Amino acid sequence: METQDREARATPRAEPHPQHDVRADDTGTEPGTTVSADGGHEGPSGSAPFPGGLAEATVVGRAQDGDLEAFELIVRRYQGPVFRLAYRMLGDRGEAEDVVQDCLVLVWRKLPSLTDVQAFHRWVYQLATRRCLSVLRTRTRRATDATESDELEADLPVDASADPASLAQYNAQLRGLDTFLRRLPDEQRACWVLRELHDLTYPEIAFAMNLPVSTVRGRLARARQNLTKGMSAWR
Amino acid sequence: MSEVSEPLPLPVEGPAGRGASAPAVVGAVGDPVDALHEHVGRLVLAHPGILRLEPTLLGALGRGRRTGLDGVALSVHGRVVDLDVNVATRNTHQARASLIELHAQLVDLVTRHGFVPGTVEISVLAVDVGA
Amino acid sequence: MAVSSSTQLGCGRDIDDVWANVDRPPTAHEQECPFCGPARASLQELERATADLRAADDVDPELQPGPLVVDRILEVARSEARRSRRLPLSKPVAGEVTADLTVSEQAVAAVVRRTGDALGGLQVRRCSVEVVEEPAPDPGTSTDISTEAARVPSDVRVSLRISIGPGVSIPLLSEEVRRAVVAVVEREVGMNVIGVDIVVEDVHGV
Repeated sequence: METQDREARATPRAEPHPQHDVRADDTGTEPGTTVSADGGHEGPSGSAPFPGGLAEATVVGRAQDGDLEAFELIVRRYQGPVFRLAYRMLGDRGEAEDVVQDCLVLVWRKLPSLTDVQAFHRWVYQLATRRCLSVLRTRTRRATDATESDELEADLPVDASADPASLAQYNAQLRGLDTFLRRLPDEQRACWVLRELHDLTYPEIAFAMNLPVSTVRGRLARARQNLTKGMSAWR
Repeated sequence: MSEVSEPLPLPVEGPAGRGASAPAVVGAVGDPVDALHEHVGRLVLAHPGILRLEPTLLGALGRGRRTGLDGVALSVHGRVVDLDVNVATRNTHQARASLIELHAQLVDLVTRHGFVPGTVEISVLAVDVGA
Repeated sequence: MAVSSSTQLGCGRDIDDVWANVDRPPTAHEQECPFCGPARASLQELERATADLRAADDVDPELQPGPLVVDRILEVARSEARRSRRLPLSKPVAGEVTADLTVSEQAVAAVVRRTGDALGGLQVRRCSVEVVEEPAPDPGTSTDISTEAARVPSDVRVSLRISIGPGVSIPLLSEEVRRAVVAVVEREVGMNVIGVDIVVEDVHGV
């Protein structure tokens, strides 16, 4: 194979500084959290451009090269959705924050090994979901000898630090949904949250959870069934 | 390839991936996941191209690891086991070749323990002059 | 509260079939049936509650991570900026999202530095390694690409900033360094060095 070599003489300590036109303004905004035509859903669209028009794949590629500004854009985009996923899975703000940190630091470390930048969105969800399920498993293992089953498991804790006033904002319907969501078996809850609150497609959920698509469909169907049962009993 | 020492009792054979319960381990002490975790660590260290395990990432965040050997991060969901292993290799063995062998061994090990291999990742953090 | 694992309604239909139809107008059976009707209604109710939950979550200040989380993540990233970058050991194949087998850039750089030191006449000051992207050619149906053993090593470019000793011939040294780097990275790491860039930035020992 031909080698392609280059050499040069340079002044000591000359460091190349790549100029990026990544704009730092508006980095706190996640696309989709303002009211928009599609109803303002919360999961970031995997291919939505960043403020300034940069495609996500571009920003991911730059972060892969070690560009911290690009990585910061990614952190600001995904911290909210990952937090909400973890909160719905674990029921605890502190643990959810830990998941955000673990997950995004892992993203940074493993970025160069991500060979398909178009897969970034579902890859982040994969890391986050697996972390949540792992934490839940450790919790369950400590508490009981429960085995994975369709039976309802111990309720997720209601976060003691939650503001009572904001709980009161929920109307009765939402409290019902919130309650029975907490009671779903972990895998059913994961499939439901990823689908209904984060807009992941079935293949994306299957990827995140390392399950066949048919199993994902099954879990989702059972989750809906359990939720509707719970909510009609609530009434 | 060096011999791995006497393996821990393996789970009762069952249909892999079906059924809801975690595998029963015949005659073993403690949790089957811990048993697998420990076996993974021994398998990795037994490979002639591997010098040592390297600490994993949670230490950087100031939080201790919850269980098991530092250098082997194992996470389980359902029957699926993900492994994330950090090693230092000996420069007498090509790192890539060592990892290719080790990867196959780890996939096999997870399966023999009655779990389903998910993502099995191995990373070389150092290539050192090894005795 | 017991969980039913049966999906069959009182009329014999499967609830999943009823729900699959929920976005379309009710069938003649569904309009009359005392089981299908409530099943549709309960799913529609769930969908409304779900939409409300999403809207509430979006504006709920409790459902944002604290402001320090971003800072802590970036702090770790900054301190690890180059130290922990992982490079894939094999070229990616179609459909693959991440590489299972990786080596840290620093590990490869250390291998190169050690070799440079052994050569004499130079001191390696900076060394960076980057993967040269081009996916492996399609292996065709006969090759089992699911095993790591069937994969092709990554191509990398190594960049060196060095200082040289007095009286050293740059062209001769460069040639020697290139040969040595290509050989040691193949032997100890298992990657293909397709190019070595050398910047001589200083002279030492004068």
